[in-house]
Amino acid sequence: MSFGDYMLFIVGAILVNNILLAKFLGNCPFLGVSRRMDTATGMSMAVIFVMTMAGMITWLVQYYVLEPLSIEYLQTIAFILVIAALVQLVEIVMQKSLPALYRALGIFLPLITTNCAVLGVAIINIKEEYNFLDTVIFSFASAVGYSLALILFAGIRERFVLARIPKVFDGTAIGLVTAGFLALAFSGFAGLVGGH
Amino acid sequence: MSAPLLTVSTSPHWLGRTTVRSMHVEWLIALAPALVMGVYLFSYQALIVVGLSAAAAVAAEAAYQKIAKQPILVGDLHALLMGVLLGLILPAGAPWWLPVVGGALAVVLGKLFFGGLGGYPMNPVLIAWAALALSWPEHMQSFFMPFTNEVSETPLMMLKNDVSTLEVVGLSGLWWGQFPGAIGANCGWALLLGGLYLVVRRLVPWQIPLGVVLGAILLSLLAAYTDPNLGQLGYNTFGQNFAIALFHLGAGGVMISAFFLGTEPVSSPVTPWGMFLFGLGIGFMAVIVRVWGGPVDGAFFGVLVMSAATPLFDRIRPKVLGKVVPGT
Repeated sequence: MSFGDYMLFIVGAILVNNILLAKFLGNCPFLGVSRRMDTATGMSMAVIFVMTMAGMITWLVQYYVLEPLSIEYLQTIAFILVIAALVQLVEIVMQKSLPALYRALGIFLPLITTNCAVLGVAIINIKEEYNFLDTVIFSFASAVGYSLALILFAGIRERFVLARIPKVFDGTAIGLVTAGFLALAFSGFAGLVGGH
Repeated sequence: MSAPLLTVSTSPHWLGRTTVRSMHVEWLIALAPALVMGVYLFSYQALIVVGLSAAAAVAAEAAYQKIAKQPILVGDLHALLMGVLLGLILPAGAPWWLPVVGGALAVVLGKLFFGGLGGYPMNPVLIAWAALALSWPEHMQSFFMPFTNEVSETPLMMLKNDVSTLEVVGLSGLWWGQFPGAIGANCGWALLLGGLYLVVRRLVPWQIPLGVVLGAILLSLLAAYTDPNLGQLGYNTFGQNFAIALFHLGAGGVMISAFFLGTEPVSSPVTPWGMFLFGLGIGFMAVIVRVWGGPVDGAFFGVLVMSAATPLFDRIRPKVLGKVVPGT
């Protein structure tokens, strides 16, 4: 791929096939941490870091462990294991060497273990038969797309404090309606990059 | 007892005469030219679509507030304005139930679920439009050729397949609404007239329309100079390329987004630079989607995406006047 192709690839992963708003992966932290802007940005940073790392390592696991041993059917469980171990490892290393960042991310670092967007991206990387460089770029761009959606959503949700939302809709219900609106808005990007 | 010598009350002590209702009356006045042109171009069918949409919006609001035992606020005319705006961006050939569903969706889903006027995150009219466009795309494209009942392709739909549309569609005809299009978004001059009225009356900040127009022009010029498809036209003078920009301004939803939909007071930013960048984003996205994207027109999607970013634009604060003297 040329440089221009890579740019389109990145735009596609961020806007067109947004991991949250087009594929609807990782909704649980999307609704969980979007009540306040600072937690949303903290989560975004953690997701960008972990998703890129996990994408790289699961790619290596797939092509250097699972395929040579012909045990591809263990993909899901192996990837979950790898992601969980990676998050723990990152947490331990970060606590020791980057205490400031560790404190800033707080609870969100371990929470990422259960973020299905991370596993989703790892599996998409394999399904689309990306090479290693593609994997790194796609994982990073997907994470940026995730962060973009999360931060936009947190900005909107912060304002709901001021709105007289009916009690039955308050909280997660109106959050899901708003997520649907965001997905409607992002559907305008469809077809911007050829392919899917 | 004699009258009290001194009346003490909390501020405000002096009230302007502007109310929510009077503001919406002025918006409706500003929409009149577009509506008149729509009825002139598409005859009584345009009036039916707009009327149904407005009636559905008002009825839905009254019914919801009645059922929810809330005060009925139909009198502030916001539901009427929303219904009229939605009707103006629908095609004249829409079946009767399309504006009815749309009007009710806009009011109930887009506005009342968020607690009514002032609470919603995105323009409810465009939420309804996007929902209709994704649900019934075939009906949302039943645009009439003006003065006839023939369903035909809009200039933007033709442009998707064939760039030489730009040579066939005359600019003055386009700006006077002589080509197929939505009821009220068709005549650029009528929208400009109504929009300038709102700007002069200061109901709409000038930064947003300026941003939209500038954004659309800049991106059209970029496309004209770099896109290989448009390059086939062999345009090389600035005037020819600028004609492409004028085409994009006049066609589809750019003008109505610039003055009426993007400037919706609840879902647009409030700071000067925020408003300008918000408008610029709408203009950019309108042309990006038209030239490189999937949907026919990106102006409405641009408004939706940008209003999602409104809380972020509002973080661009204007400089505070005065300064703190150190040591005090």
